[in-house]
Amino acid sequence: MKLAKHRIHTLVVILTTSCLFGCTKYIPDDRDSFGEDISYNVTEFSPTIGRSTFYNDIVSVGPNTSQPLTFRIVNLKDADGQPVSTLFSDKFPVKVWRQMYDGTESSIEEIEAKRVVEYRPILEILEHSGNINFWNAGSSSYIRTQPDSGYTFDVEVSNSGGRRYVRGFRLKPQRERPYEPTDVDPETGLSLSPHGFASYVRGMLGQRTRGGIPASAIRVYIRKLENMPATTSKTLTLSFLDSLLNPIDPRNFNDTDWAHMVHGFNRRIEDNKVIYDVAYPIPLTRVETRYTSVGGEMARLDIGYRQRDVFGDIVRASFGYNFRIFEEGHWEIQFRFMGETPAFN
Amino acid sequence: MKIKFIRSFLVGAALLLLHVAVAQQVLIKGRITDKDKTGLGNVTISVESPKRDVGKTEDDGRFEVSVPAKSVLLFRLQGYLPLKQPLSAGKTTYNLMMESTTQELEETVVVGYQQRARSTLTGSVVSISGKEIQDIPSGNWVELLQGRVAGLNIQNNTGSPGMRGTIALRGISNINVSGSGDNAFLTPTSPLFVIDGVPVDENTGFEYGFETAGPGLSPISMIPPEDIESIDILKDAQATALYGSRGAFGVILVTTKRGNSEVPIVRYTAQTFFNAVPALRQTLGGRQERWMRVDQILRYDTTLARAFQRINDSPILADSLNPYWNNSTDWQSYFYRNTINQSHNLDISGGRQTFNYKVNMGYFDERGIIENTGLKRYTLQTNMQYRPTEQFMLMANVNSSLARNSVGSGNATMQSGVGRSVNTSSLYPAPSIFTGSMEALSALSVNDDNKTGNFVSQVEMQYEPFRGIRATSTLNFTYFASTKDRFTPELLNGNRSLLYNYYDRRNRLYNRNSLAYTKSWMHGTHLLNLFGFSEMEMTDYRAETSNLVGTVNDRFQAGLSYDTRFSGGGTLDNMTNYRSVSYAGSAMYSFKSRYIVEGTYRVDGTSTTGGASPWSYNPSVGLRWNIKEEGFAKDINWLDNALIRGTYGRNITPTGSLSDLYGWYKIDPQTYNNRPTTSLDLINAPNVNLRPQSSTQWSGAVEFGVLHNRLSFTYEAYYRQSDQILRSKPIADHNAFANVLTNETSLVNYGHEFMLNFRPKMANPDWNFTFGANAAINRDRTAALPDGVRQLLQPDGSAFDLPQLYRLGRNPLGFVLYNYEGVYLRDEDVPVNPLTGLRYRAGGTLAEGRFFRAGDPKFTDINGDYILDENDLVFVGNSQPRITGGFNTFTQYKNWSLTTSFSFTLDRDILNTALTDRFRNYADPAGVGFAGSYVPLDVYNVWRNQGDNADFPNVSDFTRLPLYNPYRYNSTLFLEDGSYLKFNSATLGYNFDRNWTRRFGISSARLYISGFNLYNFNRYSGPDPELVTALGRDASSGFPNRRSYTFGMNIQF
Repeated sequence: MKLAKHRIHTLVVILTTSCLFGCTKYIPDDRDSFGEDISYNVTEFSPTIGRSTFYNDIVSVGPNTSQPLTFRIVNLKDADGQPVSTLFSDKFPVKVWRQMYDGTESSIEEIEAKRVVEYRPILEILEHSGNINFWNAGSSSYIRTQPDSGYTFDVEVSNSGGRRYVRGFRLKPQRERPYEPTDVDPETGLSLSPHGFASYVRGMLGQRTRGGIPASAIRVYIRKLENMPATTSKTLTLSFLDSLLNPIDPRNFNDTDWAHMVHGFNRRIEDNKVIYDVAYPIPLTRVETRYTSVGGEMARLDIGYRQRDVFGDIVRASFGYNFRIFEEGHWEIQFRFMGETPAFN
Repeated sequence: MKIKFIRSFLVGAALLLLHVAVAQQVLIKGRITDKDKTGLGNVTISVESPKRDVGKTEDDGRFEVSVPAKSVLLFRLQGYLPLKQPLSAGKTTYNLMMESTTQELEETVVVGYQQRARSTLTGSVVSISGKEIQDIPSGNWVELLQGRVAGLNIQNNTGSPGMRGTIALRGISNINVSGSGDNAFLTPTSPLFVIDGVPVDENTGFEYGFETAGPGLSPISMIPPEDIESIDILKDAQATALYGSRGAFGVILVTTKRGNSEVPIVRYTAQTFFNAVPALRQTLGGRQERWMRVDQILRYDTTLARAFQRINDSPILADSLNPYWNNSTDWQSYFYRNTINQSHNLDISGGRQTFNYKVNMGYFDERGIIENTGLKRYTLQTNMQYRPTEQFMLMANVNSSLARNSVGSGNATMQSGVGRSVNTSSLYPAPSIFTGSMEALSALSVNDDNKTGNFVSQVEMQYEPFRGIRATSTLNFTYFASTKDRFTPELLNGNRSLLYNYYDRRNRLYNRNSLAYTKSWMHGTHLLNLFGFSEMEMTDYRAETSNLVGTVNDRFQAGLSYDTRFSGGGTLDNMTNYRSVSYAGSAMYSFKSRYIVEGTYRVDGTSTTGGASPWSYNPSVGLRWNIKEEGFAKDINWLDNALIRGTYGRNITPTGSLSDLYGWYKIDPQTYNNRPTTSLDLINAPNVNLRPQSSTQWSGAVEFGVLHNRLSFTYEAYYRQSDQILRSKPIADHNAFANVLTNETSLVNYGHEFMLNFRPKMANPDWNFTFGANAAINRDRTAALPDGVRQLLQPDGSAFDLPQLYRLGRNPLGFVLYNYEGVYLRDEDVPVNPLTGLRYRAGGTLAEGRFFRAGDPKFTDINGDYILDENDLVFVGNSQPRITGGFNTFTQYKNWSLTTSFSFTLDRDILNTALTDRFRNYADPAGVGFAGSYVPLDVYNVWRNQGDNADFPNVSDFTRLPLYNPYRYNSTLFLEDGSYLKFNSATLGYNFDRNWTRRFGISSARLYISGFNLYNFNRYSGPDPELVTALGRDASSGFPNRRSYTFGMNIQF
């Protein structure tokens, strides 16, 4: 009797458990799926040394792959197939943002409070998005630059469902070009001419002929001032030379919004030069502010004055220059009027 | 012809009335009870010699028969030992008790086309008496089964009269989602209905009504519930084995009433029911809404000047003194209404074993709670049985029903015209022809007239040449036709009237020939039952439409003249020509009724199976051990019944169509040399390897009853694998064809089912109480996907952007959403991308408006790139309920009875799309495009000011709303708990004293009031968590469920 009871009990247990557990093993595990459909839209990267370059949206993940994925750079080698020692594992100080820069900051300190120095490798992959960053650190003195074939690397993509290597990425850095626009050849580092031209001119008349001054007559020299006193804040200097290379008093450009032309502070005029304390790079980030061109890609200078035009009306004449400077330092932008000096009346 | 047939029935009935014997008669009355003094209804009373039936007992066990004096009365009822009572002279009242054989076990059930004692069943069968669903009038009685059977998940998600909600037995059987956005729907996998032994596939008609075109009524809703004797739900593979060629989703057997009383019984049921509109959605009205809009513009427009301009340019806001705009229209009141409806049913039946008959006539009229919708149903169900000898039997059914319904401007389940119209701003004037609210007006005044006819004729013959061998042949012909005539007056359709006509017909010939052999040896120690049959089905279906534009005027509502340039029509591409042939055999062996082994094998060929492997072979095995029959168990007094059973089996269901196998030709849109050309349709590549969907199921159960069977309990566990699910997959474009259909998808359901019945012993015999409860836990898991991938994201092309994600090992019907974490209280709370110094933003081209700021929703950035895009979607929730069930009670005190029924659905997630829709109306405060109704923000905790700790993000920043889309449909913000407990119905009935009613010539009378869909307990913020699509989306255009109150009466003569 007791035995029989026991028998029923065991049978019940066996029957139910065998069905429940015996069957569930046919159900596939619920783990991340890893499909064949992950691909990179960009496989060759040619960033310029000294500029932070962020390659966004370069990964496409198809319908068969579960996110989030984890990305990792592996197999970094130079073009000869030799492993790179520590170049890409060393970490360099770079400035990263803590708060959003929006152009309303009223001092260098306020800008600097929004970003901090972090140590990051020059070549970095974002862990879950697969975006690739090339930071503004290092130098062409020890990073192979074009025309060298540069480096190769693979990206390891993984989730709990598996891992895959996306192979054959090439990193071909270009040597530094610390400002834009520039005609410095990325391979040789040489430039065809030492200057650029104004981006636009509006209605400027020359002193000599009362003819219009074309943009090609305004040469723009950008140079880094090497022997400046070591201060914490860096500067941006604007200066103007007439056709005889004599300095023009910037006050002559009397219809210029000096205060809101450069996101700089402590504006002063010394030796006929306008000097701002600024934070680099210029522009600080790609966000449209009152100091940038539309879209926020370039910083925008617009320098104007009131002049009497050929009909005798007082009108605004101006010229402008859009530029970017990547390298921190004391930089000067010098405008040289070739052939004609603006007629300030 | 049909009328003649019915007439002959009526004549026969009249003759029988005259036939009542003229011998010396005495009037015998009394009451039959079981040993608990509960009255036993439906006990057959017969006289022993000459043997004939003289009547039946009432529901409370009382009877009154007129019989020859000195005869012997024989009382019989299934589940009870027959009782003989010789009449003694002078005594006319007999109160007798019938001895129960073990309660439920001796019932017989027709399973696999054979009458079987319940104690020999190895499969899982749940039976419901027709009585349980007859007190609630319904256009489709399937909705009344909700919560009554463990594992049968019914969601009554449409209140459209006559339409059916979704139904799934032991979980869904298909994971395919068709359509997109608001109109996405899950491929229906309703169980197979078998009406009086003939299979009726419910999925075809249902699917059809959903998609558009026809009236959308199914053959099932053409059966009046009053004519249903019993419903048996077959759940596992062994029970459904013999219905195999379509039984993969489970089988529901419906048996209609038969005559079985020598005294003809005339039963009349009348019901008057009042349908009430349930809770609707809250909106702001009139001045409140206008000021909300003005305030929104002033606060959020780009500049104040622009805001003033915007307000002044918008007459709906600025011209508030104009009577045209000065409104507070309650749109919902124009479309929803309370209705009074009625249902009548007359049932005449009589006869005894040699000849019996039944005629059931029904009239049902229900007006929907949405204007311009309704269902009228006229039914005539007849059957007769002739059995001159024990060897031969002939049975014939002729059923004909006609239905006329209107779905207004919507279709069978969705009312998109109404859905959009009730979502209109209250500032607009009420619908009338002068106000231009054409969509609303057409919902109200489109003339939608649908007719559905169902004609069933069936003959069954049985012959038993030798004892033990019985041959049966069944022939059934069904003709199902429906038409739709929808006329839209010219005013409502851009000055061109629109006449839409639809006509479809489905005819079906079904034949089954079977041979059964039963043999027992050694006084029943060994029992062998062999059964074999062949089955054949032919179905033709064809639907035609015409769309005639621009009749002469609105009086011409037929295709007499129309504008041929815009008109079109033809045969729809869902025509089918289906054939199937099956051969099946089964063998059952029972040893001392203790051990029962059963096996079936069937071979099915269908015309939708590809020529590569035309036949499917489906075995099944079942085992049962009646523990109580064992010697040792007989001594256990407290245990009245105990058994274990287990089954394994495989079934199929045909999927796809002939064209999926062999391809389509189509008529090209262009011509060649001005002559029409035909070419291959390049959408789906033909695939001759297609096979039917198969379902392999393991199931085990334990049942026991204790306390004299007052408490009985059943536990079942099952594992079901649906393989070879038909699914379309895209193929590379160099193949010419865009897709190919394959059978590579699989799905697994597994779960547990519990059923409990409790009938406590009452001290006072006037009281009687029964409690039944059931629950089922079900899990669905994707088991295989085309091309062997582990995951598949099926994109949604619509603005809703609600894709489906299938992943092996997971529930197939979850949601793919952005994870909402709350609201940014202040601008500084928005994370900043350390690389670029830019704030987290919504995806798309970079624009100032896309950067998140205070009051904006906080969506999780899964991949950490500070851009919210499709890489940040998460897979959450489950739109299919994990736990379903219900409980019901029956209480009786003397002549009063109270029945209640509850159902519950637990652990289910639903997406409140309707609320999203209404929040999104805030995107257009000036009402330039479509001015939608405004949700009152006070009801929801919506972000209004800096620092507000709100549940809902800022809804008012209308210039930015399209850029960052805070109220996106695919957000977990609107994912809510869809669990509910529903008070389905309650019925309070009163049985009149028979002695009193007899004075009026009425043998019994019962009055009752009942309520249906009484209350829904839930935490859902929308009106009704049940009113969601099978994919768990609360669409604005759903048809709300009625709450109905019925006053009913049953009279029997």
